[in-house]
Amino acid sequence: MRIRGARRSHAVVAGLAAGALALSGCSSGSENTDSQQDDKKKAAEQQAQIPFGDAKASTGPAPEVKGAQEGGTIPVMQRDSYAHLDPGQIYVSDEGALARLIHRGLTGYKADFKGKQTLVGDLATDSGKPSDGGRTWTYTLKDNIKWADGTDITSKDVRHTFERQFAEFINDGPVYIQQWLSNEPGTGYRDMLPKGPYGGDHLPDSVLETPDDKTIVFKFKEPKPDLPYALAMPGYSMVSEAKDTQEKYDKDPMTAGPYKIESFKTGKSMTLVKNEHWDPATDSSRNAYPDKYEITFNIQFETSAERLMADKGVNKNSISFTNNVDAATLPKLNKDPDAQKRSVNGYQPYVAQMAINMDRVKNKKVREAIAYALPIQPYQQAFGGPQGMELAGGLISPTVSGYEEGFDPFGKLKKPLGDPAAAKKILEEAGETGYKLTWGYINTPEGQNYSPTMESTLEEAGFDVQRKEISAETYYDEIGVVDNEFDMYVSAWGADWPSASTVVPPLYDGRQIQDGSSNYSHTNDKHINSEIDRIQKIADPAEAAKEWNKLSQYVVEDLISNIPMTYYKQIQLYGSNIGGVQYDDVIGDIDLRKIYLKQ
Amino acid sequence: MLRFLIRRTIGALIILLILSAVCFFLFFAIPRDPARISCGEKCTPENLELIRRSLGLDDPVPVQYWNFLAGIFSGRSYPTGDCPAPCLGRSFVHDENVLTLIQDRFPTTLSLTIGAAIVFLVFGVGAGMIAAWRRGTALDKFVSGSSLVIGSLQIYFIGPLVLWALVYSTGLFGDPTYNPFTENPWKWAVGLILPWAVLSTIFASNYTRMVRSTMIEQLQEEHVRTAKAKGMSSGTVFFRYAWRGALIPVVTIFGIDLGSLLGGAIITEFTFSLPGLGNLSIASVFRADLPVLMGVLLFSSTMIILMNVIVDAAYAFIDPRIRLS
Amino acid sequence: MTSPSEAAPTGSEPTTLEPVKAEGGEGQGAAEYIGKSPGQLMWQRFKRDRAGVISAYVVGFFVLVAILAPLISKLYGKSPYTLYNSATGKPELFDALGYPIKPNGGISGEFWFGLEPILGRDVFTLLIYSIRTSLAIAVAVTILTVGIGVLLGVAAGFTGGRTDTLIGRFTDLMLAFPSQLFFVAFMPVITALFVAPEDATPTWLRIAVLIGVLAALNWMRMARIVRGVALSMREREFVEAAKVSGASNWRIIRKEMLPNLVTPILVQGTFELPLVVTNAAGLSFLGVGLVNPTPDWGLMFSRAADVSETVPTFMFFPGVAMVIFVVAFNLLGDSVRDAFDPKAAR
Repeated sequence: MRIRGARRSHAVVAGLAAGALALSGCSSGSENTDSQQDDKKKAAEQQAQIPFGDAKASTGPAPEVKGAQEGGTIPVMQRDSYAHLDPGQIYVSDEGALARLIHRGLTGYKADFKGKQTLVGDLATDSGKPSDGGRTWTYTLKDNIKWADGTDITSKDVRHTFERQFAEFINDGPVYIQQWLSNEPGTGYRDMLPKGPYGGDHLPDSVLETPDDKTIVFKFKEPKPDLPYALAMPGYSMVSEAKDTQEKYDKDPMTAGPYKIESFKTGKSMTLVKNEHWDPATDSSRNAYPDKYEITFNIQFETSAERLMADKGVNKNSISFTNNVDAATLPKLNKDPDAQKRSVNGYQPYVAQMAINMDRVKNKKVREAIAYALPIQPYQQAFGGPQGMELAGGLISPTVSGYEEGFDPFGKLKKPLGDPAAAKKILEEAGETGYKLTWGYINTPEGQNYSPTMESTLEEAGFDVQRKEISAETYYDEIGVVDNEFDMYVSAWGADWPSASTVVPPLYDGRQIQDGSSNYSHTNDKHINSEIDRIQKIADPAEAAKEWNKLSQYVVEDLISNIPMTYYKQIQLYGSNIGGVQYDDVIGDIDLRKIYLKQ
Repeated sequence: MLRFLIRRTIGALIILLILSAVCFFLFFAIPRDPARISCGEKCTPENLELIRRSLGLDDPVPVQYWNFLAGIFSGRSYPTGDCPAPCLGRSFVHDENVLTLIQDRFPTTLSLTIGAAIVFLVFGVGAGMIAAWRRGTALDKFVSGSSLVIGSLQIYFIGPLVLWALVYSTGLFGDPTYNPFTENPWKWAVGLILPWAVLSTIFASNYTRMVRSTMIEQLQEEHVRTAKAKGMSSGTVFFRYAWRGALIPVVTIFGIDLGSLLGGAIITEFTFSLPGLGNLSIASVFRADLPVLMGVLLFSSTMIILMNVIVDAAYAFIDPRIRLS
Repeated sequence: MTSPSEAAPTGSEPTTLEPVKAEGGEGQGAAEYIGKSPGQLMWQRFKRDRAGVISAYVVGFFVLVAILAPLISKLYGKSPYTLYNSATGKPELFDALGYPIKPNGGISGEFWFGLEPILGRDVFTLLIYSIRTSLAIAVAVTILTVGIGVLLGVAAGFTGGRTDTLIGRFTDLMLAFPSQLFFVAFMPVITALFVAPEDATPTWLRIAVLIGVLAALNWMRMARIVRGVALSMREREFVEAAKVSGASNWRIIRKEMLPNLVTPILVQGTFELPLVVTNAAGLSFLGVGLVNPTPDWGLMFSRAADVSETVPTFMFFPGVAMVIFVVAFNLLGDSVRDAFDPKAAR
């Protein structure tokens, strides 16, 4: 009766990540679940950028789903309660999926019926008009956009939304736009507006300008071609200036999406009902057919999987927003063709890697020995085998442009159980046999299942492994401390949008190292730092993607600070009365915008 | 009676005070920093400092403990909202007062407890009486034996088994859920019937064994034998006299069982995904949500102590010879 | 059935748990038993109890398996620490998901009870070593429980007065702890207090903490029972006599009281031990007890609960073993009590 180990708590850091292009026919892609080949093919299709849509693509209403029916109540099973409802605090994928239904931002993703995504204007009329070489971006708000209390959403709210991101109490959300506006790395942006808008100060017009009620102009010092993607993050959804209660907003926010929160009992239940002030004509991506969602928390993955597989009674109408089929239920699902028809699957943008603490393990030969010895298959099997994860050769996920198939410098794909013999030789040559390796692993059922095999294989190679368990809920906090006592630990990271510019700099830029930063391996390499600066200035996305990939390979091959382990995949079930289901590879979960209840 | 109650209340308060102090100081021996937990995924040193200040974690531990105690009487105020008296603190993880969370979960736990208690009392005591009544026969052996076997099954063993056999594969029962009794008593009972049954298995056999042995003992007592000698039918003797003697031990363990159940049946609530105190406490353990954990611990202890007082008071009613002291 | 105290100077006063009780049928059978020590009497009665004898054999079997686990696994040729699903093991026995390829959880002539999914340990050796771990913990906890219980119980019952009140209040305090929740909350805290941050927590330390915490929250019932008995005995003639004849307190406790306490302690101990086994297993099940790859009953259950539908055998073997163990131990407890105290009803 342990709290089942957080598959997603491994991934929370990664936040709501943008996936990539369509998985063809992913709404029932499980007839071929065991086929790695098929997945590879799909992956290859995913590596192009999501295009920006124009005003026409951004105009509502969303195209009707064939056979869709309006109305009905959908029961939802969720494991974890929501810690944040304030958009400014939302960064994890669970809350991101919910935000899709209740919050709206300036931009958003729109999926066609094959799952192909386009980035369009959500509250704005289009995905943004760049000028001055991408330094200035202009957005115009649509007409008839209203808060759930019927008041208009104006540019004042937009200004307020971004200004409050600078306040101290907003500390869990994304920081890209704050950093870009202030042109400061790290948390230096807070000095620009230390109290947010609450002390009466505002961002100067030279940074954020709202000339009238409908227009917003962002002005950056450097070109920011990725701004429309950043604005689509749920963390940049709009906050009502009039209803902003600061810290208390996190519990009871004003919403603008097709649903509003009728009731929320922390850790127990939440009810979403239709927001009558949401006008479908202003929304090009959300159909929002059901009348009501009744969310129950504390439903473990195996429970929701069992109930949806059984498909009895009220569970025929049920879904889960983000619970996946747990590893132990997958073998059963594989023997149940009927339930397989009610599943969606696809990649998630996360990449699991063993981060070696460069401050402690300074000998490259030792790191090389770890790279050869480390078995990655136990990790994959602990998470459900090939359906749960795919073995990784490189650090760039198949969902991100720049991914290169077949990159595998240490032969991990050929020997997924590790090569202790090769490692032993390297360790002996280096005279480091018996090297004491303190490994912090996450104390979840999965961690219990993969760590002993990793330990024993590393011991076989001649390491003296000290395996320390770390509580799941504080895992990333503990490994995020720069001065930690561990030599290595697993971390997972996903791109915030399908560009490696949201992967390589946050993970391997040595200038970012501080407590809580995502550079878990404490990689601080001159070559990497200077390359990051160079590649960030490349305007052509394809060229930049290639360069990012090359740099990530340098991390694996030459520096050996991070050992790629697996790419995450997702498999979810839904009740037989749910229609219009497709996989949403932007959030890496079921697409909630198009589903309907058959009545 | 009044003096008894006053004395026991004072005693209980002292116990709770010591208990809360022990828990409080033990919690701060935890090598992980509570501020880190509410700091979230992107915890920078500045954020950490800020949270530490707003949670009052920069005060020395005794001061924090004093604030905690004072909060119970005068309420406290947090940046995310007020916590009126009696304030048991505010969750680190959710922006919610601990007492609100407990009040929200307690009805589930109470329902689970009441239903399970009825089931294990009826079946446990009933089986024990039958076994004593037909002592030494095959029926006795069957009842005692099966109660022993059922009692040694663990919840984590039969819980999943019952779910699989009765819910997922056959659909004989719906998913166990909690519906408030006040809304729909029928739905309430139907949703909880499986958890009641499973939870009672570990308790019922205790009652069977005890009732059986005390009943048999009672049947040998003088007043019972006298009654029998006077020519009363054995049925009358059995149901009129003997069962009274079995009452005191039953009430004693019933009090203990109720007290511990009212604090949350952790494994059962978890197995059946019921939103009770047990689920709340286990979630707070794994999220290191210390105020909630502390609140649930204190609440559970209060329940245990309360049941003890009630049991002691009940003795006086059952057997007037026992004087309250 | 009470024999006159002079006839049994070593203090063979059989005591029931109730301090005051009508003594019906006294002396009827006393004559036949003359010349036999209470131990012999008890043994005689126990031997006649068929269920008791059988369960004693079963319990003995479990104990033997636990003690001889290393020998058994040596003869069987495997170790519970070998991970067969690894580079140095036999990965060909497992499918892509890490489950044994052969049916019934990979049961074969080589692996009698099959293989554990993913980690790939041999279930047979895993189970016997798990029993070994669990029994060792349970025995240690029971001994500690008895030790603390007797110490405090005798101190309270024998001295009486203020000491009695103090110990009584302390016992009340400890009884008010919600023990399961307390275990879960504090096991990690207490473990962390003893370990340097760079080193793995050694298994012996985890076990020691587990034993310590379980004993600390388990001694109260024992103490109460012992106190009750000691209290009633303090007023008995043979203790009075010893006092008058100038025996030291220590001597009275050792020579007069302890022998009389053997019965309730033994009875309570036999009931307590299986409880400790299931409690400790519950802790590991919750994830706060032992960790893989230490073989442990609770860990097996927690894993089995996950995979039971795919690999039912993995739940079957430890589950059945646990049920048999608990039933046998409880029956044994009943028989022991009956043998000591024939007045208690059967």
